[in-house]
Amino acid sequence: MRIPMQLRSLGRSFLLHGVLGWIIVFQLASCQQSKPSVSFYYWKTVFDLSPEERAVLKANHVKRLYVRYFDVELSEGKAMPRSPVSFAGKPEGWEVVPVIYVKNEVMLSKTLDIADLAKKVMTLVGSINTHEGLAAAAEIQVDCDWSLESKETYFKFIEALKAAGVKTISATIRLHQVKYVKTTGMPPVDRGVLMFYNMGHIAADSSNSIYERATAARYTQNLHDYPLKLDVALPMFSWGLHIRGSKVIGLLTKVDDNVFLRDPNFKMKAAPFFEVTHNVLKLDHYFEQGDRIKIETVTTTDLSEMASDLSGELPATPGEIIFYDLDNFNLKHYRHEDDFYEKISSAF
Amino acid sequence: MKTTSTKKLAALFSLAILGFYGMVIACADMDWGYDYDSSFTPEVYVDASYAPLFFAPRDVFYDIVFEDKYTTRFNDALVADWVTYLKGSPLTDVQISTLLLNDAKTTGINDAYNALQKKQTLPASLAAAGSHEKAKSFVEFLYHAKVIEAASTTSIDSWNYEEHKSNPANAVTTAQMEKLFTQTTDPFLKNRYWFQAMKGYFYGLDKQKVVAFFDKTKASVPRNTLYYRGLSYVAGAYYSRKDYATSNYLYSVVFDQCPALRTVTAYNFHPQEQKDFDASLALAKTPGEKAALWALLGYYADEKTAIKEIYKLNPASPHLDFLLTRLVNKAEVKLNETAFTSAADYRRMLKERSDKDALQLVTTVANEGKTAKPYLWQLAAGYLNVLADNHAVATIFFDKADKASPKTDLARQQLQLLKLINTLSGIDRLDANTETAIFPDLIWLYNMLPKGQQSAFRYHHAAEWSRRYISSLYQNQQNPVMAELFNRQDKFYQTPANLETMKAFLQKPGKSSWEQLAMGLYPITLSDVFEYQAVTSAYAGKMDAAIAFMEQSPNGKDTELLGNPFNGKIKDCHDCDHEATQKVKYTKLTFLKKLKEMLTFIEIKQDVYNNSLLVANAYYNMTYFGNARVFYYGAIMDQYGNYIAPAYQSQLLSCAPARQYYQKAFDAATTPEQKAKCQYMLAKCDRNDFYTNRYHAKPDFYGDTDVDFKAWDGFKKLKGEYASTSYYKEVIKECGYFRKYLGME
Repeated sequence: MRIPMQLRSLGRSFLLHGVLGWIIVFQLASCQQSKPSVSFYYWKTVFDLSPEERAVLKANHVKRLYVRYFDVELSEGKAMPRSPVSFAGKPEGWEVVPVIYVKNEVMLSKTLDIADLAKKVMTLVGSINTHEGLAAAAEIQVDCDWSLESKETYFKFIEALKAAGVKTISATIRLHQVKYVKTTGMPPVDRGVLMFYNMGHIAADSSNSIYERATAARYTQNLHDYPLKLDVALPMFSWGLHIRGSKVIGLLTKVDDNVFLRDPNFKMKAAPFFEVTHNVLKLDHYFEQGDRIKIETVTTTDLSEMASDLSGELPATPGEIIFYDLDNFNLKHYRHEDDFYEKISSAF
Repeated sequence: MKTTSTKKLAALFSLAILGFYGMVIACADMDWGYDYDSSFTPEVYVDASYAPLFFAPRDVFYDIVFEDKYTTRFNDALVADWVTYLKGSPLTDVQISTLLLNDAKTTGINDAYNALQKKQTLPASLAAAGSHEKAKSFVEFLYHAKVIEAASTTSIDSWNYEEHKSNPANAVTTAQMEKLFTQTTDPFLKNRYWFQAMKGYFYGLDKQKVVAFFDKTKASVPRNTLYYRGLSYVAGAYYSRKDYATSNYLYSVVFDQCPALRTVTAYNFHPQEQKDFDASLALAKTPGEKAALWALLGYYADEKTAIKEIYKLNPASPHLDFLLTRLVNKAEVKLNETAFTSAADYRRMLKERSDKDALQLVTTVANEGKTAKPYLWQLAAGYLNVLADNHAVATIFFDKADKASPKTDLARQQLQLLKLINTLSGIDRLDANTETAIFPDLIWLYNMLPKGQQSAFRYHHAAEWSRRYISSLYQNQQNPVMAELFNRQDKFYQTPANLETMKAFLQKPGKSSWEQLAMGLYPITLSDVFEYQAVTSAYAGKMDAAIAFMEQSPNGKDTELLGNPFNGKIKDCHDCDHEATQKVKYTKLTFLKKLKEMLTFIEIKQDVYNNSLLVANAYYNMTYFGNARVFYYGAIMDQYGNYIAPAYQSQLLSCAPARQYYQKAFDAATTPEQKAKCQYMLAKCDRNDFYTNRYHAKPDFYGDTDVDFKAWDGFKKLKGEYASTSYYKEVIKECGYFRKYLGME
């Protein structure tokens, strides 16, 4: 029944964060700001807001944007950054929180120099901000689907980022990491962002891998006991799965029903499926007669349902609801109300 | 002109990456060799320049996996060209190669160029070049080419943000390249300046300028590799302006005329919509150009249509060969992934799922004999007929292929394998005749071909499939032993009759060659069977039988246990027990004998407390929770991990025998210390049973426990009745759950 060193130190940092949490709660209470604020992830390689995107940010009083800065993956065994973001225009009026997506393979690498990686990440974030004339980042968010085998390295990496000078660190938390917190552990961050999507398997059946209430329910009952302060990330994207026989053979990003409804080579079947009626090239894919397309999407009702279900399970009202992701194509599905996102976040 | 592999040509090809990304993710869930589900080796007859385009369901490109030669592909040819051109110059071949393939900074080419411009003496290493006209031209060329190269190579493996930003080619240098192209009369240099100008325009601020320059100059440029490399830039420029029809058409021309660029063109061929491809076809001027477009479409999307169309245009087109192998590989993979339980079941599956269109197409083309390699089509038609359960037709095609084909080792092996598959899948019943017919080929397949070695020849699937097929025949012939020998089943030994018949078979003298072949495939030995019997007997409490069986297991009996199996500690720490000094090191056999001795003492009522406690500890340690898991490790049970198969849970997870003897020890205990210990041990059994029922017995147990402990009866008694013992204090010291139960933490 010995407690490993790692967990003991986690216990200490949690205590500390607990105290900080109280201070934050107190400050929020004194400002009488109880509703979660609205934010968005920006996940494209060039930051270039369209007029529609700007309008949504304004209508929903968005103050912060979570911008993917770069991915970190292995290249010839070494951790390397991929597709660093560039800014076509300065994000005036929004605080930018750099998000770093770290592939789990990096944390599984046996030769990883954790402190060195943390320094490189910080330096690159700094270079991007300097190059683009942005203020130094007050917070960094790390997105990594860590596993049992990589958790120790990942948590040390977070500590190393702190040691490298990051003031505030947040991390994405997947649902399985909430349910199995005892084994998967909890990253030593200031707060977590619960990723409330991609909860199912990518499959050829009629299930929705992005969100399903029944799947979500299997995880949300464990939220009460999660010891880390959580904000929430909600999905606002749709995609298509290209199915041949019983296998998913391709992912079609940024598609919805409209893409296939008016194409005579596709026939609408019982939702969420379309069937290919003639061999055809489309969307840089080849569709063979008999193939099926499954559209996975998130409706406005789904989002209201998520807000309602989650608010009953979370131990505290989240400070922020972050929608994934800000993009014209995604926005058009929720255009009936200008302040739609604020309404969803108010339901928490 | 780069030797560093970390530099990649980014701008030209990055647009195509996203399209592939989803496919890679969707398919990248396996990591097996290409013969995991294939018996048809495309390398046998197809030209090597097509190899990366062979069917590779789990990779972007066959064998090479990813394209990684963007910046190095032409290095050797480039050096060779310049060495030929500079023959007779003072520069050595090594110097030429070094100057071409390394950065200007390291070669001092800029200093040499500047010295030439100022009519000064060249640096020492290149001094001799100053008096040779061609060598001077080389220095001048390199000086400019290295400037262009800095823009055409972008590092993606860098933590330096600046290196990720685009770095357009210097327009002044590009203009200079065009000028030198126009002015130079030496055809070798002229051609190279043309290419540098093409490159400079493509990697410049406005890549569309490459199109105008190409259109203006193309008539005067020889149709060599540089021309087709240049044409790829034009295709890339059209792609970036979203003119997919022209872009794909131009890529198809390069694909057709420049084999070295086949992977590049195949990777970049992306008709976004049907109209793009139709428009590309309209641009194709000759049957050869149309065939090349169809070839790329065949790779990208639809081999069957491509083969039909190319065959109409030119039956001897070399593009047909790789498309045929893709078609066959796809057809077989679809069938080979399916499980079956009997020959009839297998045939039904073939009839239902075989690709009839492919069969008809390939059979027709093979019969017409108009292709460049008719034997390849006969081989493929034979195999597709095997997969359609038409064994007689298949035989005819194989015989034709045998007569006409070139006899390489690979070709011979391929034909032998396909003939074997044909013969075997035509067999409904195994008897002396059928065994004789396939015996030599099976010996070859199972014993003579190298095992686990990845060569081009694909035979591992056939080895695995043939065992399953033969096993299914034996299953239907009610011969469980032979069925098991060819295809091991986890549950086989759970049926006692199976075990006995297998033992009898393994002990039978004078086995036939066929039986010996089957034995050679079987991973289980007689020693394993006796060990299995010994272990299961021990769990059933039959110690005499267990000892007798274990004695007959030469491999099992001397296997050492890692810790002392008679220990019963407060804390279950296997590693601690394994590391602890052990005066007596028990083997599986000596453990059983000692256990039996103690059981006998209990029977004759000798030192009942101590013997019962030790026996209980032994039974405890024989379970998954104890320190002697090695006792049940064995080839038949195969329970090495944290998940115990349901069939063995009642033995390996159960604390019942241990509990029985802890209770006996408690009953015989005379001091509170002894009784306290028994109560604690019983609490451990309660805990194990709780863990078994709540977690381990569930198939989706992930290792996470929502409830770690309960107020076990043993805990209650320890607290209520034995709080004054020193054992009680030890438990408090070592057991966190007990401390929690007491409310101490």
